[in-house]
Amino acid sequence: MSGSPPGTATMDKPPFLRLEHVDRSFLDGARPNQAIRDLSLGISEGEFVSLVGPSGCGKSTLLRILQGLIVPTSGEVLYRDTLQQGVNPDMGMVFQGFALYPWLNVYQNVSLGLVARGDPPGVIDRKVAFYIDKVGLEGYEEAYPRELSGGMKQRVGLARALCIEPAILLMDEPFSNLDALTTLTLRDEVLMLWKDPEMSVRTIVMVTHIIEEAILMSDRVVVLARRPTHVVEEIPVNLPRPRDRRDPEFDRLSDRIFSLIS
Amino acid sequence: MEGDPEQYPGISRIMGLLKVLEETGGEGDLYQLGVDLHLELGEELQLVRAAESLGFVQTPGSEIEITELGREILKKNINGRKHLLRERLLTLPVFQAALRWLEQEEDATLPSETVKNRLSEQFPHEDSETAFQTLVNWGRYAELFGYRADRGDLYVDRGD
Repeated sequence: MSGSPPGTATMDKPPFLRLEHVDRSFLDGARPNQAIRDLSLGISEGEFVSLVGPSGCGKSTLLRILQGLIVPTSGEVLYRDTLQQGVNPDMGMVFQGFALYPWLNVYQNVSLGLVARGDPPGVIDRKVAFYIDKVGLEGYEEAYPRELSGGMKQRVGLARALCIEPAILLMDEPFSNLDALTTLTLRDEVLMLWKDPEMSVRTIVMVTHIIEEAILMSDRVVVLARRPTHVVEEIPVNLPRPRDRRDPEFDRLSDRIFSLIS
Repeated sequence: MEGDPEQYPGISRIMGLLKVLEETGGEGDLYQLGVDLHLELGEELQLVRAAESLGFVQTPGSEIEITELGREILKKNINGRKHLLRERLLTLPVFQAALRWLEQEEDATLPSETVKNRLSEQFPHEDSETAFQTLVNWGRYAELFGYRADRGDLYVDRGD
């Protein structure tokens, strides 16, 4: 990837977020059920990585292990070459179902992470205003979630995740509750934010089950298989941005990933 | 406003429509577009009419094509889109009228019922409920109007 413009993935750099031989079992009744087996994965700074796989393949569990919300049964999560313990405060999460509090307005929903962290009110005001503006929500500050379309709700989710100024943004099927046209717009906007030099987020890990979405957005697609979850193949996407679905290489990648999943 | 926010065509959907058109060479058949996007006819027409009223598409016959303005807004960043939309909204009679009504008030604020009543008087061919939702939602997006749901007040967004 030499010659890439600044901010794009440089896979020759050592990964700054790594899963090393991660296993995870859950108890299914009294019987341990192995959900993830010997999964290793490296993510470089500045990279946009998609995790793709069939539903039920543990993609979301993997995202939560990356964030430190779920502890691996064995194996390690390393962040900047240090063993990650507990929840990593350098990560923001965007949820499939938006996860907004219906009784809080847009401003209050966005500020949640900063309030929980105990930032001073002046700092909270400044940051919330900045990120609300960045995601295009200025004008909606006093709106409640019930007044918002799905697209606007997910912009609130994005602003809330970005507001804590994380280095890494984790997105768990962020567009799957949106209609097709809104999805096209939001994908573009997420890519704009990723390339925005004023954003702290340089690295994005997204879970999706839409192959096209993974190829359109990411530098690398990690294909997962289920029971237990493991990496089938990692596929770099070297197509120029903005990406064109009509590119024959797009089709080839899409077919390749599809054949690995099915 | 407790109504379903998906009743009117949201800006994100209009931008999505423009993107689809641009990716398919800038034009297409209205019927085929609806089939491709899995939109019901009524839903598609509402969306297309909204995009047309903003000057982003044209619909000669049964065709649809993106305009220069439509291409221009797609190229802009998130806030650039908001600014261009604001300019467009200020050319629409419903938005012009609502802005005039609000600016005649000392606090640039009116109860939603008053606005809806005036909409049905002055724009009898429009559904006043949908027109009001569009005022609130496009108006908020373009930072032209604000709306306080707890009091049901529409006001001019002066950025404070």
